[in-house]
Amino acid sequence: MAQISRRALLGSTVIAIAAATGAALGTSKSVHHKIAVPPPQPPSALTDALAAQRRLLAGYDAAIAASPSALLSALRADIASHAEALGALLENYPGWRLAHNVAGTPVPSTLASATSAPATPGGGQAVAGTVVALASASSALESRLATECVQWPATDRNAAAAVPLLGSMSACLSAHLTVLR
Amino acid sequence: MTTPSTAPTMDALQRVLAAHHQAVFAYSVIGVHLDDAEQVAHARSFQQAHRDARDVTAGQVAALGATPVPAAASYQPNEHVTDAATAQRWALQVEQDAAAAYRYQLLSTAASDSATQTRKSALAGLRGGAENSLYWRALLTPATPTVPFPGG
Repeated sequence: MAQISRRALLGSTVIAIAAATGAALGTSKSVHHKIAVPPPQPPSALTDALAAQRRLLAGYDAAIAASPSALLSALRADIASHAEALGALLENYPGWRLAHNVAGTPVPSTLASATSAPATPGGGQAVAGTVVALASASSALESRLATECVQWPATDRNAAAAVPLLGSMSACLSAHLTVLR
Repeated sequence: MTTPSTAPTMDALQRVLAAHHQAVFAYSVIGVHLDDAEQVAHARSFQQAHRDARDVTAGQVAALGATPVPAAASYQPNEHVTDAATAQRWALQVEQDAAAAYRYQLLSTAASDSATQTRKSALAGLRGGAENSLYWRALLTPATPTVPFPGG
């Protein structure tokens, strides 16, 4: 008859009990599978505004290419800064972050995206490279940003960043209109 | 009486009021140093707008049961005002300060869904500050007459 030490017997017993307990738990406990919930997306007002800014930037690019102007370049720089700031705000929304920062790759610069964007990013109407068209698009964007600023819900966790930013960009565009007209 | 829930709004209102006090004072000095009739007319117009806004804001503060901040005896610009250029720079400074006060007021309403009217008013003030700043900045730096984030 094979000899077995007390230590080996004890070890085997412990393993057997642990396995039995595990099996019992596994068969008796219900398993709750975690269902992947899509991360919250940013409000469409922000993504729409970014698309409108990109269209406006494309319009400025066309206008400056047709007739270089230090003044138009300065106004364009303001819009580019707006796009950067809006892009940074959008980064606060996990859904946006996930979609734009896959597998740890660097987030493309909003400004870079803007300059390389197609003529009608976001599906809106392209802005022609004329001062009249730039003024019209600026006016529409100014109104949209002002409305969003006033109506922005306090429940949005980024309200403290969004409200003053939207207001400030709207005020900037208001000054742009004075320059363009 | 100011309750905790109205404290941020009150603080913002008082800042706006203080900015208008400063602007009303500053334009009196600025106007003396400007030598262009159109600029003087603009300075007077802007000063009157600040005076009106000051009175409205003081009324809002009082209506909320607080004491409006008084004007200081005098206000100092960043640099001594001796000529038209330094006067224009002070004018730009006071308009930027007013815009900053209104931007802060917008921030103070961010957590409130019932502040639509205050937000509208703050946005109008911020827009006014941006446009007045544009006038002075266009004289000082014509190639870059605007800033991307007024009040920022």
